[in-house]
Amino acid sequence: MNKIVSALGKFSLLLPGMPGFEAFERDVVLKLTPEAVLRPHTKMELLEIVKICQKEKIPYTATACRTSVTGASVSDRGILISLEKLNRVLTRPEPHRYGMSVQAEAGIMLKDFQKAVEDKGYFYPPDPTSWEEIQLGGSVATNATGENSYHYGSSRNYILGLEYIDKNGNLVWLERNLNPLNLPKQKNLAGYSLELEPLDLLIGSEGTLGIITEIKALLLPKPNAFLSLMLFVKNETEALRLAQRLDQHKQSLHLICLEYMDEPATQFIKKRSSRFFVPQGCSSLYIKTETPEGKTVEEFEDEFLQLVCELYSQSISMSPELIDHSILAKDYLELLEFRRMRHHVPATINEISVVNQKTGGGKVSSDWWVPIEHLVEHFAWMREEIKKLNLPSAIFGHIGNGHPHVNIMPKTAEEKQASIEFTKKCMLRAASLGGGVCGEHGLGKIKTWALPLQWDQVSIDKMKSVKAEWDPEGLAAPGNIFV
Amino acid sequence: MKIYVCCKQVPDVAMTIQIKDGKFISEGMNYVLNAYDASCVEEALVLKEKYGAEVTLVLIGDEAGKEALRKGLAMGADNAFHISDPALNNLGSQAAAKVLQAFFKGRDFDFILTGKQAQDSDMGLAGGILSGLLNLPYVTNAVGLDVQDKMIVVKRQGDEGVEVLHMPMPSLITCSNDMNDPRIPSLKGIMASKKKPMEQVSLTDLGLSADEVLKESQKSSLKSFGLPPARKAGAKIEGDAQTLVATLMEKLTKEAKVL
Repeated sequence: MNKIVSALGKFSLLLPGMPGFEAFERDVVLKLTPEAVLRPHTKMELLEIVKICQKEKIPYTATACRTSVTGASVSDRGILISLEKLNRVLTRPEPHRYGMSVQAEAGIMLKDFQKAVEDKGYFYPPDPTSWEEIQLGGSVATNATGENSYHYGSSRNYILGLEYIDKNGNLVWLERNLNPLNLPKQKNLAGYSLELEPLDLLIGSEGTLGIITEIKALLLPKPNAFLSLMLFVKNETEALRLAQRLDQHKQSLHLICLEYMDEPATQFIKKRSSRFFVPQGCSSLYIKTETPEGKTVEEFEDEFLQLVCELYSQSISMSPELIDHSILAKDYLELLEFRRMRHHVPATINEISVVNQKTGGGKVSSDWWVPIEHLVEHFAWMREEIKKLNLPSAIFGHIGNGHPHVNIMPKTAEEKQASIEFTKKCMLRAASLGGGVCGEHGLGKIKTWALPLQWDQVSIDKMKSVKAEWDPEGLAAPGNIFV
Repeated sequence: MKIYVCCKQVPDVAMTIQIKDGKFISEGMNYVLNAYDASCVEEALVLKEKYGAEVTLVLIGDEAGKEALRKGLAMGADNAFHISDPALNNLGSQAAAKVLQAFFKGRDFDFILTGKQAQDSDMGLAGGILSGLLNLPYVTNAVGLDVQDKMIVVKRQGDEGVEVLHMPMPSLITCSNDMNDPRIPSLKGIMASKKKPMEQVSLTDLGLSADEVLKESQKSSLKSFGLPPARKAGAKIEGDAQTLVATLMEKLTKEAKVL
């Protein structure tokens, strides 16, 4: 501590016990106390702080809003650096060879960034579930995805350039050569993306290769009107089959999002909204579509509903009354209500987790993914395993990408350990089916053990050599990704 | 019971509003059912489910108005009237009330509901003027409705609390959007709404001429649109709890003078 105070004391240090410090000790799953928190006002101040850390060998971890579910944004080694004050949009939307681009500081809230570009008539698609409470830089450092990733892909698909602070304390700009829209739009695999361009190493690196300071993002034209539909289905297998059928018609339905909530998760949303009825004993699918060019909302709505009803009716032949409760959102506030309702599910699980943590439990969540054709079979296997566990669970997520979030809610340390073992089995099986162990949350500090479930030793060694080259002293976000 | 709900289509106010040279740019805007009117529809449907009623929507507007009416029908209203005529563009409150007066002439109803104001202009005049023209008892800012002994029991938000009024039928009531959370239409409701009757009504059908409407419209005029001035940056107080409270008290008593 004395070393930190003497090295960094000229900056405004937030130290343990000071008002406001507590907020930096916890993300959704971990409580770790850093030695100090620094909140630089300018990029130059940030640069100076990092230079001192490198010189004095003080570990530093960039933190945003601590919505991570892996402990990636908290640390008990060295200092936390919050980029919250580096929050400006730096340019107007400008022509770029791949479309329009805009540059912003990493600490801007994602929702403010999206609103700023929307006001200029453009659209930045990445939309993690917690879009209202995260920063742009954090979303890039984790290659965040969200419900619309089903159509639009991940953050990586919209990054044209990045500035970061390298191992020598220099600001380095990395520009993308290839059109990011042509990169695969699949969910993440754990660790670094070794096969792409240098800036792709930083995207999803969870802060371990250096702090991202500025981002040049690719913008799309503002999309046409959206329609969102929530469909209730009695039986999980039927719901998953409906998801597969909808996925087969993805193009003609112009689907941009295909989400699933199992029965417990669906019941969580019941408490959120009084604007519609949630039937008992049902799972639900939440889908979103975008009106195609050249068609009015009304014209497209007719076609869309006709096909959806055709597919849906096959899933509810035993309970046709469910069509009475399935709902369609069209205007902005209704769409927002749907989105917040969906966000309410993980928020509720997190609240339960905080209570469970007091007795040694918490929540054990996973975000493995499998190719959609393996969904039904993988779920059937997993349900048998959950039965053996005999613990409360809630499953929701991006089913169109074969990417559900499976949450087990253990109350004791023993139950937690059993839940982790269960999760490892799910991940391993997902990887063996051609999927990934961790589609969007990253590994952070609590899932470092998952790296070998995805990759062989040769690949892991390559990632370690990247880390050694970019951050030879191991000062950047220590404990994330690697043990 | 026969309940009429007077509706208006308004720009989706959650979208970015653009104004140029004092004029509102409507291009690219989505038009939706006014939120206050949506609350009226919801309340009418609750009464329908409780006591049985026919819920009829009426709206003055261009093609965009049809979508707002479809929304109300999808929520569960029984039928709709769409009053449409080129002379009815950009109507003032006085003229809108005059057109609605002609519409209600000779019609049977137990009460008329309308939003206490529209989200676009926020004037809140048409309901009051219409009640005057129809010579109907009138209450504003309703936050709850029920029916007892052939009287409408209206809870209205007054300046000092909620007042409960017993209104005779027929009456006209303007409603707050604090009254309820309007339901999101079901898939079945949306499919059904496409088959529900929506009658087109012209000025001629109402026995009005374009000149008469124009004359009413000229009683008030809209000069220009403008965005509200940007809010001044706030002051951030930092320090421990004791300093924060002391500084805040100082500012509230000496600067803002509200304590």
